[in-house]
Amino acid sequence: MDLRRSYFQLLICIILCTASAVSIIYIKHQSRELFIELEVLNVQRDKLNIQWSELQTEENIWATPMRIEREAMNKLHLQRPPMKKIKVYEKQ
Amino acid sequence: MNRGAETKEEISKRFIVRAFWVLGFFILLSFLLVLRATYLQVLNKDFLIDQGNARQIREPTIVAYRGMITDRNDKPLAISIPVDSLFINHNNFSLSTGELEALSKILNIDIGKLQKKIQANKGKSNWFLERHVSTKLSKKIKALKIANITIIREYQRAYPSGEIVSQLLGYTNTDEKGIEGIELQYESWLRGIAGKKKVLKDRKFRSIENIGIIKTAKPGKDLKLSIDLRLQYIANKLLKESILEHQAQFGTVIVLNALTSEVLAMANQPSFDNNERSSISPSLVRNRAIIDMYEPGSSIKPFIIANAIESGQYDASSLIDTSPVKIGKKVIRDRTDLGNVDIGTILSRSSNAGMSRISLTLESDKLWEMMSDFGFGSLSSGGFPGEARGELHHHSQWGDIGKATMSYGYGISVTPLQLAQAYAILANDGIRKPISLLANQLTEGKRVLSSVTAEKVRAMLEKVVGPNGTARKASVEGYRVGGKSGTAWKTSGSGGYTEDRYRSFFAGIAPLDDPQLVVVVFIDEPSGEFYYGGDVAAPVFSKVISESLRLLAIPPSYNSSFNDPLVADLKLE
Repeated sequence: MDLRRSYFQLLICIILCTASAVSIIYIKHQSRELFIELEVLNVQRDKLNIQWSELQTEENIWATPMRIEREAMNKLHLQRPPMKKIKVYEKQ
Repeated sequence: MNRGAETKEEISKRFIVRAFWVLGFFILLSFLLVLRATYLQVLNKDFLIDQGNARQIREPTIVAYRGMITDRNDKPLAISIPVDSLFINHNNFSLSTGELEALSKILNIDIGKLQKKIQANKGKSNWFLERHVSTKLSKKIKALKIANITIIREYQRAYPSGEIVSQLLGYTNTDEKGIEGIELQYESWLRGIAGKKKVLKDRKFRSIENIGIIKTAKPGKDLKLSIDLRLQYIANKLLKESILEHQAQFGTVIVLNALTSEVLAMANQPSFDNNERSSISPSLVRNRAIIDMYEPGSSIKPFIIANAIESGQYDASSLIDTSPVKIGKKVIRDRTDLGNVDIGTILSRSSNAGMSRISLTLESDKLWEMMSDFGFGSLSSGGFPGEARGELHHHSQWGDIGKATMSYGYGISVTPLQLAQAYAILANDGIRKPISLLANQLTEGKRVLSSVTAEKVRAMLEKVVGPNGTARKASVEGYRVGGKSGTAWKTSGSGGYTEDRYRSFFAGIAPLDDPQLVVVVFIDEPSGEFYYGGDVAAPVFSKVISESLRLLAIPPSYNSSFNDPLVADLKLE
């Protein structure tokens, strides 16, 4: 009886041990897969950051006050109203 | 031998011998295994670990960007953009004719030049064939698949606003290190320090595990300047026009927030584009608003008058004799003798004789103390590289002549920024706040002048731009403004003053009913028809103020020629 019981315990230990070993392999694999994904995303983030800074530079080159003034005057034929015609709303 | 004849004993003996052999064989085998294991695990361990690591472990750098510089409304003034450099790490690098042609076409460099560069670096390894190529071009170069060219990612500063803010911002060198201006002043704040990490790679060279950080990356921090790009642009444009019109050498305009002492605009002309670093001339790089000092001429007068009122010896109504003053051999006289006039008239007609008379009656130590309190002779920008301290001699060195000439702006030197700061004290009811080039730096002020005196001096400044003043051209339609012009002779190389070369100043405050802005205009050597501060610098002041007040939506003064704006709005609706 006693001997049978110890065999049973040993069997459970072996099964648990194997299961944990397999799960370690599995989890390690999972973590590596996720890490690869993370790295890809990191690279993507860096690329987007770069693009963002380039777009920002571009936007600001297009939007220099000098260019806006030139476009407003030459293309849209806008004029600055004389001071007497400017009304300033007071903040309430 | 007949097996059948073997005895039982013989059989067991043979069995033992056989077993002995087999056992011996296995023992030998396991011994060999142990030997091999010892060889791998003990004797050759380091070599093998190194080999394994060399195949699996990589140490990529962690990129850290240099911080962005923005204006107060978050408009970028300096951004780091990625560029690629062509790195050669082979000591006998050469290109085929086809490669040479393709490369020179992409890089837009002459083939001969390219060949020369390669020839010059013969025998060297680790050099740059070309630095800072745009990422678009580097992609094309990559596609050529030339052996021994490594493309290295680097970063370069881009300044979207071009020449508008260039002297203030300064620039960086090819390694992105600040070497001028704000880029230098805030180098440690802006600089990004790249890090290094250790990762495990798989067969396909993908990172599969982070082993550890060798050096943490420290990204650069962003910096928000107090500059308002719109005002900066306007100041630049108007200054440029004026310099052209008056055929002047150079000029400076500063716009200061009167209440916080933040610099809203700081323009120097002629200017340069800090994106084009190859063509920078040192004289254009100088941020003259901070690092050059000048004798301010009459624009210093309001501070002597503030001292006179503060001393209790004079009041706005005191009458002063403006007949020529004789000190030793020197006679100080005005172009027209005004007779006995009040202090306000002395300022509005800019009488040097009257100023000298006032100055001579003031206590030297008190006058010196107050001039120091106004910020003359001490640093004001908070560490801008190369900043000038200005020159305010100690009162023990003055003598009567020194004291008299200082009252109309000679023998004292100030930077345009110091002048702006001093006017800001008058505008801010006598409270001095440290000048700030960064946005939102709230600091406690220090009272250096009573608010009553500040108000009296402001009222006198309004008369200067009034119909009888010397700077009528500084007036602004719709707003009450005040200020003081100055015209100073330039010193000649021989030590005296030149008779025909001038510096033209105007410094002022607006709007006077609720001071918000201080503007200083300085123009060097106007050589056209006009050279007086009231004719050259004052109109620039007027235009800058009028545009700035409109942009900042500061309501017009009520007792002006305008209708009451509130009433006008109600009628509209």
